Amino acid sequence: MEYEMGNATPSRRAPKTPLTGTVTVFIALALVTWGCHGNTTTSATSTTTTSTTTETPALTTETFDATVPVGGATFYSFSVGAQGTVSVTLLSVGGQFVPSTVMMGLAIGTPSGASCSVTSNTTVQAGSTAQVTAAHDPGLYCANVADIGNLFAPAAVSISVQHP
Amino acid sequence: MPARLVALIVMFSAALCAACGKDATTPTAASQTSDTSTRELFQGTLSSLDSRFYSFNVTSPSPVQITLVSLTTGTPAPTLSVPMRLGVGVPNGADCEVIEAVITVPGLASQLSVALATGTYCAKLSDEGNLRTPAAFTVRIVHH
Repeated sequence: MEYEMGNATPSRRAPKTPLTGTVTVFIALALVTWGCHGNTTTSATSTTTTSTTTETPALTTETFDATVPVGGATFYSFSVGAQGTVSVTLLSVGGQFVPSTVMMGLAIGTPSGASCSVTSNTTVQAGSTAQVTAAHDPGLYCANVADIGNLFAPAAVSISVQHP
Repeated sequence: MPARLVALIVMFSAALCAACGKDATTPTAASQTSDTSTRELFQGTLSSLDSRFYSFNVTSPSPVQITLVSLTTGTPAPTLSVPMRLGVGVPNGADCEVIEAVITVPGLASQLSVALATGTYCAKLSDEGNLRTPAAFTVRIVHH
């Protein structure tokens, strides 16, 4: 059995010729070229850029003039349409016997009964920059200006409210 | 054997009676309804051609009744039967922006009833030229 297997294989091989070697080289080169060709045609990795935009709600500015009686208050109701920052500015204080630098109470609250219900007053002097700012949800609010005991005569006040 | 059968029948009957008995002997509690409405009084003094308003908060969608209960002047206070403008609206700026109003004289039955959604509203009383002197008024607001 070992004799038959051993003798059979060598006897069936075709003799190597120069042409066979050349064909082998060409096939090898073709394979290498194809392989390299594959690398060169690989498409570039695509990248996706995700941009995040935060929409800022448009701000509305309302200005009102009113009179604060001695020991009293006045308020202005406004509607906040989107969550955001509400800024209230006491722009000016005036009137006979009322110094423009008088300290007043300023606050943001909610309309309730015949007044504006506030949790705390900020004591402010009239100026051009907002003295009271706070973040609020959509809803109905009011800006309240009050005499904190400094007035001897009714005061003419000008208030600016900026809100979403 | 018959004795055991009788005992089983007695036990089964007892269990059946116990199960049914609960329904028969437990009285069902009567359903109760509670009035959760809020009553607010808006009082003040109104001059000729003047107006006043009062803000209130509706916590659940419901009909709101507004009543001009009284309008008086002088001492002792004679009741005036003067037509006034009674409205309901939304606080806006330094005023109450009226969405519905009636012209009415004081009375005990509500003169203005309107269904309102949850939110902040205001009742407004205005004189349209009928008041000769300042008058004390009372407006009742019933809401949820």
